[in-house]
Amino acid sequence: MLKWAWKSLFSQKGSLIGSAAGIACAFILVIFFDAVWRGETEQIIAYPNNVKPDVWVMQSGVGNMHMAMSFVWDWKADKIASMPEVKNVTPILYLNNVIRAGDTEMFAFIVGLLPDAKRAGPWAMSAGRQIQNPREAIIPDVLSHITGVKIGDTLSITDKEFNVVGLSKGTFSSANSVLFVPFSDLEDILSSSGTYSYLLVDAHDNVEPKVLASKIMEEVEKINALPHDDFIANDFALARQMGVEVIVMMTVICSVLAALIVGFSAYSLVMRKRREIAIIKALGASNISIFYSVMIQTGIVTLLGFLLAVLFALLVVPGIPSLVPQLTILVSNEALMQLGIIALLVTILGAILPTYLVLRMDPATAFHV
Amino acid sequence: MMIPILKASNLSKVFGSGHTEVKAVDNVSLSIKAGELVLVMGPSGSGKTTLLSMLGSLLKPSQGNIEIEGINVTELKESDLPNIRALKIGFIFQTFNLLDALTVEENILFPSQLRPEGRVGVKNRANRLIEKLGLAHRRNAFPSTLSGGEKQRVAIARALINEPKLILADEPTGNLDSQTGQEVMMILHDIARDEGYAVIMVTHDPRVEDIADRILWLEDGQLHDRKSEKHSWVKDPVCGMHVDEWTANLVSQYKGKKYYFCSKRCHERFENNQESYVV
Amino acid sequence: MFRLAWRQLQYDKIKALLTALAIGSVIAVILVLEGFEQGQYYQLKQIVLKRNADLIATQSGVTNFIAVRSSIPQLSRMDIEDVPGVKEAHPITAVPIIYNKDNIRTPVYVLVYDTKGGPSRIILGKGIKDARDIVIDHSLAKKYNIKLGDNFSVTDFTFKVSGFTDEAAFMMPFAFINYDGMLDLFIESQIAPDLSTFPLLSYMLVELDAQADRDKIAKDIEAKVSTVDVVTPEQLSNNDVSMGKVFYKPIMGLLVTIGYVIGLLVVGLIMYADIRSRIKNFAVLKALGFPFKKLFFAVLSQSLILLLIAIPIGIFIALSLSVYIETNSPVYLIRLFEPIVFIHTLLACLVFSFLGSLIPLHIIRGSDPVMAFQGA
Repeated sequence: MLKWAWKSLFSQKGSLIGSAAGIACAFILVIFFDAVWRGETEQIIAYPNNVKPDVWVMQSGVGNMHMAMSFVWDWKADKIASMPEVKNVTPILYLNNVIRAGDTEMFAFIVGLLPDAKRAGPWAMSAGRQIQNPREAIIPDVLSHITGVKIGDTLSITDKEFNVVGLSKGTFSSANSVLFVPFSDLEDILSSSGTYSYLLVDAHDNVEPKVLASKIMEEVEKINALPHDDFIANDFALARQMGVEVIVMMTVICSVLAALIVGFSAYSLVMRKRREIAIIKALGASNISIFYSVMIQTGIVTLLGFLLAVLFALLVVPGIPSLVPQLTILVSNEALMQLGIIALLVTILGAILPTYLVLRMDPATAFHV
Repeated sequence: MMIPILKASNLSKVFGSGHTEVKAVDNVSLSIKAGELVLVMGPSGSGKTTLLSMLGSLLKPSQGNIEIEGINVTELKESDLPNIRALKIGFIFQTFNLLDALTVEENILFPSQLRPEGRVGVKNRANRLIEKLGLAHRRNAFPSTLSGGEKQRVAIARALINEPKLILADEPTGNLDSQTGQEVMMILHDIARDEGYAVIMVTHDPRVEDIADRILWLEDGQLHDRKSEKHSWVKDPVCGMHVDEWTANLVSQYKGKKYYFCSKRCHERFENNQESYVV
Repeated sequence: MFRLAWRQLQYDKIKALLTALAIGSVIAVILVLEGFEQGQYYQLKQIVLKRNADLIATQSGVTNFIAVRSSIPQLSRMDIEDVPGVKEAHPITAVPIIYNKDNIRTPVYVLVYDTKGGPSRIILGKGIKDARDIVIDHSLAKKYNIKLGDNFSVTDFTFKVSGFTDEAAFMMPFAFINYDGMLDLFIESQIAPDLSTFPLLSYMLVELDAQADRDKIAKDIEAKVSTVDVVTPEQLSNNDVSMGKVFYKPIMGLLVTIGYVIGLLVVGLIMYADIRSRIKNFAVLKALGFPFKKLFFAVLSQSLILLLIAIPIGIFIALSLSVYIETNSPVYLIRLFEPIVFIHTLLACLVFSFLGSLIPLHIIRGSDPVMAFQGA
């Protein structure tokens, strides 16, 4: 029976490849939705993830950075800096706003850096230099590529114009491009003074970030201090939930689509081979062995589709950002493993109808011309 | 003088080239007039289907000409051939080849959409054919519910719907039992005799010989005369079965005498120990 | 040939249904993606228009309402109201916050209003009567299982939920408080060291006298208050939609494009598999004299009929999905039936169905009519 299942499946290679490719298409959609969503989520937290202080200090009640607004009075930064466990404190101002670059207006997160800031700035530059003077800005290199704004050009935030002096790497995402400007300019835009958004606190070598965060919370009131890992986990969880329902629904419908294609190809195969199946039944094969054959066939078709999709995901998907630089795509092992489970379910779902038909098939059909 | 419906001259068909070259049909000429029923017989692999395919404009001959109702179809462009097939030729196949999704009536009417004058009057003709071929009670049935004989009658009606002058039938009784096959034969006989169709039929069925006007014997791609109108039955020296000297493929010569075999098995046995089978 | 295509589908209803469901699923994916994108633009547009102003004053250089920081002088209300033709000016402040309960965080856009510009519709409960009152979008209430009268803590200040509204944009639910509430929040949470330095006004919603000339008054206000720009709500909402397009288009555009490509392949591969399984039928039709273009028409008719069956299925699936998404996450609005986009999507489906049916054509072209003589 196994041999028959295998051979009859491969007797029409065109149909087999067609079905496998159809299933692969549905799986590719699943992978793609997930990769875009995951890539964006990872990129949204790229800034805090890369500047990576030991402890983040922010306004009480705030626990992350993405889409958040935080204000910490300046004297609180001084107080924290004076703590013996603290190596240094780097305050930043942070604002989400629309920027105008060339003809494009887009949403961006702007980080205001103090002139003496040793950290908190871009972690990798692809061109240009760091900020040295007022009204200078460092923008993501992808943003420069998309908008055509180069070093030496200007961009505006509200009614203030900034000179682009550097292009940073890894700071672009559709949802959360990070721009760097002087602290005083951002203060000006915010019409605020005497306040920071976040404090990036580095501990001395022998101090545990968790312990330091607790100590800061004890000594300074109305603030929140979190070790970097907790802060990032919060940010990631927040970024991840944006649009998650839509992605989940898309995954469900694409999986159903894959199951339908599996069902379609298995059904077509069964209908094509119904006389052979009737003959096998007439020869005494049990329903269970025929059921296994159908399962094996749908399993093979789905497996082929899955492998094609994975191949596509690993070879082609990573190249898409070079065509669409706005996109950050991340194909994760976790997503591929999830897809594997989906493929298993799809096999079972897809086999239901053909199996039912096979079980109902009358062995007397074998005698029909 | 009556113009033949079909005239084939020096037809050859070669497949492959060089050392793989096979001459499936070799310099065949024939012609058939209206009202004639001609059988093409011959052993398996003798080129019957290839000849029929060429006569039906399905396959281009390597050499030679085919004229159907005076039109040299071998000179026509590929794009003109469907029209010839649709209007000048009616096909009847061994496996019926009905469209499963259509009813009996729809199957019969289906080729009529290819007529240049459209379907005017076709419905009446279909009704007459349905009546004549005894399909009235199966008019709305689907092919999957028909018996073999009924299927072949539908195929005959379909072949006749566009009133072609030439009918090409490939083993039309091959999938039918003896009695049903006989009925189908008589229908084909009648359409040739009574309605003036030229019918060429490829068959193995020896019963048809009695109703045919002519029998063409194709062997190794060439047409041969038959020595006799009747079969020449000889005995297989191994199993004792009767074998037609004309259709038998397996022949051995031993001590100046020819021996004919029903099967490869008998042939091999004979070759291994000839002495024991020759009395 | 159309009849043959139709009867072919009728003949094997299960196969036709599976095919239509598969194509319908692809259509649903595309419709939901398009509907999601359109929903985002619609919400972005509505959030400004629902503030019900004749003109809106923004910080000079600020051209958007959502996701921006606008700060205008606190005394500008009086200056604006002094301009002839202005009936009243209503301050409004936008405060983005992250709502956190049980460690589940959600970005919420809090709109602070005074005399106008509050929730456009209260779907349950009542509006704001007290400094501690807050009206929240029902998606937030659903997500956190918040009931009327429940506490709603923002940083160190706790509001009481007085009502639910249905306003969300940019994947963020909105909440509404009044200025007393905002001051309490700022002071309680030590947000600003000195309230005089902290921006309390983001926008001014300007209400005009009847018959007033909008353009002239806008210029008059800008002349009188140099730190503000005055725009119509339509302009501001259009700017938000444009910004939304910059935000969503690259991703959604690519996802939709991939959806179309996959749709095309699915149609093509299904037709390919179907035609391969019926190749002898096509050989017989060729033998019977049917020219290639007729056979092509039959295939095209079949995919067209399948598409016509698949479209209502696709719409039904998309509708069910959108109802599911909107019910479970009311922050999203799926606008499936935006006329131009909807028609455009269906036409695109028609094109991909046509292109998909081209994929198996080479099989038909290559089918040898001599096959008709071969056994079953």
